[in-house]
Amino acid sequence: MMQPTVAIDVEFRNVAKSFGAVVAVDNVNFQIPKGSFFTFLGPSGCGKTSCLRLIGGFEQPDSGEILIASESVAQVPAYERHVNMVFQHYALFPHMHVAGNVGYGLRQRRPRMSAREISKHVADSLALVRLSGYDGRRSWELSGGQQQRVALARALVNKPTVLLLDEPLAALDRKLRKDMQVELKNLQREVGITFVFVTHDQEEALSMSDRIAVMRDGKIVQEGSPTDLYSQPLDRYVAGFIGQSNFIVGTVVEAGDQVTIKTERSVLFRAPKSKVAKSLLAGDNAVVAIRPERISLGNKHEAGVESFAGRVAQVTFLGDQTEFHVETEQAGRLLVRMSSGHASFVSGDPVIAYWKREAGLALLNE
Amino acid sequence: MSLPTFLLLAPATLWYLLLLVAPLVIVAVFSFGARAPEGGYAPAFTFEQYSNLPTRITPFINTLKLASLGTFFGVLIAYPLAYFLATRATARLKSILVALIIVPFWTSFLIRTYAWVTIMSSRGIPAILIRLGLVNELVLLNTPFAIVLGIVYNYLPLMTFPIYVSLERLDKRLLEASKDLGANQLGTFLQITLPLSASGLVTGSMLVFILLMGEYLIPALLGGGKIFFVGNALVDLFLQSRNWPFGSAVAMALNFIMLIIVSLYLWLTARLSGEQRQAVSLL
Repeated sequence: MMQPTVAIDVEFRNVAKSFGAVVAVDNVNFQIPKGSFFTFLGPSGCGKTSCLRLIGGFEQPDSGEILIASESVAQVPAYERHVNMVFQHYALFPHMHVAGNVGYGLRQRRPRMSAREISKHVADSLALVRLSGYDGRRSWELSGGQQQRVALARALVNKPTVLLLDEPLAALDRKLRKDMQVELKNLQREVGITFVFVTHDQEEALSMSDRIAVMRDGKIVQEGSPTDLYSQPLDRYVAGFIGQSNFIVGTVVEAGDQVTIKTERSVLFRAPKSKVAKSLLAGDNAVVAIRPERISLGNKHEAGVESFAGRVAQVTFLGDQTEFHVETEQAGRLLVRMSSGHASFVSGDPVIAYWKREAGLALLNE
Repeated sequence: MSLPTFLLLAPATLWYLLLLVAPLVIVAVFSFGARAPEGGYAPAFTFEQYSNLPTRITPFINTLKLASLGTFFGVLIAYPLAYFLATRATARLKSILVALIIVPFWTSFLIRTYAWVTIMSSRGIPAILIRLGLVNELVLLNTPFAIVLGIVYNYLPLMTFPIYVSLERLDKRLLEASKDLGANQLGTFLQITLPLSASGLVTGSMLVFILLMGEYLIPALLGGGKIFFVGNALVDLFLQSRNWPFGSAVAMALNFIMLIIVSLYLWLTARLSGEQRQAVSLL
């Protein structure tokens, strides 16, 4: 076997898992490089949590092989895997105080670890998540964010090969979630442990991950870095899930690196093909996807760009940016996002929406 | 206090005063009195009845033994049963099992216990086993085994349901978290399941223990009445020898023991529910 240049911490080889008639994980393959922040992203029921539970050993695959640190874990029960999990609702032990919770994993070690050693590790771990001095607190005396950090400390104190995080930020309010995103990413860099993260929140995935696997119906649709996924999505599903996009639906009339599609109203749109997608063929259902921030609004038609007349239907002020819903006859309803200083249109204004041809992306419409 | 509040509280208060506080006061007063020559109570103030208590030490010891053993064997049967109900049984099996535990209690206590007399008598199970050639000789009735069986059988629901509720409430994700952190099945049971169901265990045990302190019918019927309990002593003193003051002193002593046990129970549950930190660091 060829020696990989980067050590692989987790690998799935043709892993499948069904629950009754429901296929949760459908013949999935991936490799997670050591020390990376890897995210499974998808809507609920796409199989992302099942992947995590398979790594953790809470579920057994129906077929295929799972390797952790290059060793098959088929016969290894959850409690013997060098993997720890931060559960969605933290699952802190209510009958133990914070130090009892954090030290739990260390107390299971055989041969036994001395009490002094355990309390030293517990203190270090609590310091890592900035909760020094909270040893004696009870879980119900802590805020959601603090409980979250106790759960992190409880997992990290065991120095696992891989840390699994099952939507750990879902229960926090928006402001705290933002803070925790930064903190989690910093923590991951600091400890250098491989993080495997599960979320349905694309913003979370984009801001923290080194690599993202977008899942759908038990399959990985596309895997790549956040920038790859954002700029070169494989198809309409990924483009819609990662960030927002305008989609203009039509049929391919001219294929190649530049694709021309024709809409129902016989309007022609040209856009480059996504680099990662298979080639589009004439007659395929396709979309031209344009990110809202790539569209500009003006008062007159510009040369050398795709431009369409329309009317502002709705204006949403977001602070630094403003969103416009523009109703056009040829391209349908478009979402446009511009810096607040640059646009002073109000609802009902006639406008010209335009974008450079290379700002669009021709994608297969699934 | 507003009128509606007063009216709503009145029935319970009256009930409580008439049927609980008043009898207790009467018993307390009697226990310091003297026996009238023809039996019953004669007013007096003497500690004589209490100083005579040591003569009745045997029934107290027998009663405590019975209550402890009954509770112990009750836990032994009820905990696994409750555990199975709460964690393993399917919804269908669960309702069947719960019905099987409850339905016998639609029959009166006496009839059920007499049924056991028949079942365990020489013409019951022993006869069948001897006929089958499995044993040569077997006596079940009037043995300690029969008493324990009767007690466990009659008090099983009281023990099972509090344990069942505490296990049912247990967040199953905590068990996954425990395994994730390296504890095996047994370790998880001892460190998570058992402490978190301890409140149910203590509640069930206390219910059974306290009721067993007054129990004397089961040992009388299934144990042949050869052992003397506080219950028997009270019946004797009040109805046979009509020594009401001494009976009252015995009853007060029994109340006192129960008071200690209930205090212990309250203290234990407070500890288990985590009001005191110390309880956890012991684990």
